Amino acid sequence: MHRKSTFRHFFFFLSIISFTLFLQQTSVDAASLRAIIVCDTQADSIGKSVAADLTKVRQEILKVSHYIGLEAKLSIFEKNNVNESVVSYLEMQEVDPDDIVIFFFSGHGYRTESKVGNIWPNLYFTPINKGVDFYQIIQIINQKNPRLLIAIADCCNNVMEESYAPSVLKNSNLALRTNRKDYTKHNYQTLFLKQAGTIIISSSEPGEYSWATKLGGLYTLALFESLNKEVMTTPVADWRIILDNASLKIIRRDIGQTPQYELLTQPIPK
Amino acid sequence: MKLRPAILPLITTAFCLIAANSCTTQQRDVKKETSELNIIIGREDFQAIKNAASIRLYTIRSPSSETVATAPKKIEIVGAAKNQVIQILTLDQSYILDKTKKCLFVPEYALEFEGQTPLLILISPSCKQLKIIKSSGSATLDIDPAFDQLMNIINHVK
Repeated sequence: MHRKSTFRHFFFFLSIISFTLFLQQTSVDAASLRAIIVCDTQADSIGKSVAADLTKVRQEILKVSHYIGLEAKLSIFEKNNVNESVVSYLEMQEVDPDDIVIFFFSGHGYRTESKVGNIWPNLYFTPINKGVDFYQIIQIINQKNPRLLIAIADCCNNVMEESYAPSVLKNSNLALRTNRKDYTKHNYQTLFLKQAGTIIISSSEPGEYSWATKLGGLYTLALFESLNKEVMTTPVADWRIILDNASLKIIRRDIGQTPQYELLTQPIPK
Repeated sequence: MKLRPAILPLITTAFCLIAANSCTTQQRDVKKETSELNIIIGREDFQAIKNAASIRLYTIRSPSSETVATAPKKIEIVGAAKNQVIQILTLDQSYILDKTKKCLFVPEYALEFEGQTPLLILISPSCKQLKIIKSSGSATLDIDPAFDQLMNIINHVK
């Protein structure tokens, strides 16, 4: 009787250990590419351009997911869903330490004179006529300690008079040449899997406008063109080169738009 | 040497053809520019600006066209200033037409055009943009190239 009971205990503990190990394994495997895409398609006069950005960004994220082998979890906010729920969704999100989080916004943006010491724009949400501080969003996500955060805001950063300013809320592109496939995959993995930290981007400096075309935001188009070129043409892709080239494409147009970024990443030790 | 007399008429004809082609291209360009603005704002609105009997300037304090009616300040733009405003607004060169700013439009001034077809244009200095209010919606235009000129007139008359 006693021996039988000991066996039972042994198997019980073995099951618990196996289950714990299984959970740990699942947790490691659960690393994912989380993308929160907020496209204010109701934004006055730029709705079509923003819709084009949404299509482009979705395609590019699925491409990244394919090459780095992480499941893409897309959360898309468009039309009337561009509201307070974006912030509450971000607050509620559980992020694993291995996760990559991409936040993308396209729409109108602004800042006020009183916004000192914060170079990032306020993102304007048309359906609720309110702004959200881009930096606040970055902080919310960063508190969850993702391995890599890439936050992009393609919007104006021009100064509005305080009294007028809205209040602020405190796949298919995979048909690449086969001989370059491995090269591209390696670069995507270097950029997304072998880096930790934060990348913050806004398409214009304080006081400047950002421009949109029928094909999409000039910066969004420049960024992904630069990313695609870098992953396909260089042996070791580098975020700084991608971001500098994207900025250069805009600056060369001489339209008074200067993208800005903060690159706080470091390679993950092998 | 013997060929020269035969070549000369050919060269002359070629020059004429090139000149004619260049002239046609220029005409086409002018026509294209005008039609681009016409397509964006509509022929009727374009004519409403061009043939306005009078233009009134309103200083508004709220991001809504409804406030124009109760706006505290209303000034008639007359004489040379009126002609200048019409010229600025109807010139293609006054606008950037191939792209637009991702800027939150907040109007501070309004121009009311009276004539056969009344028209209202809102001006947002912080965006350097105009918004033409139409019954079928609105059209936003980036007036960066002529913004300072337009604001000089507004500041002068107000």
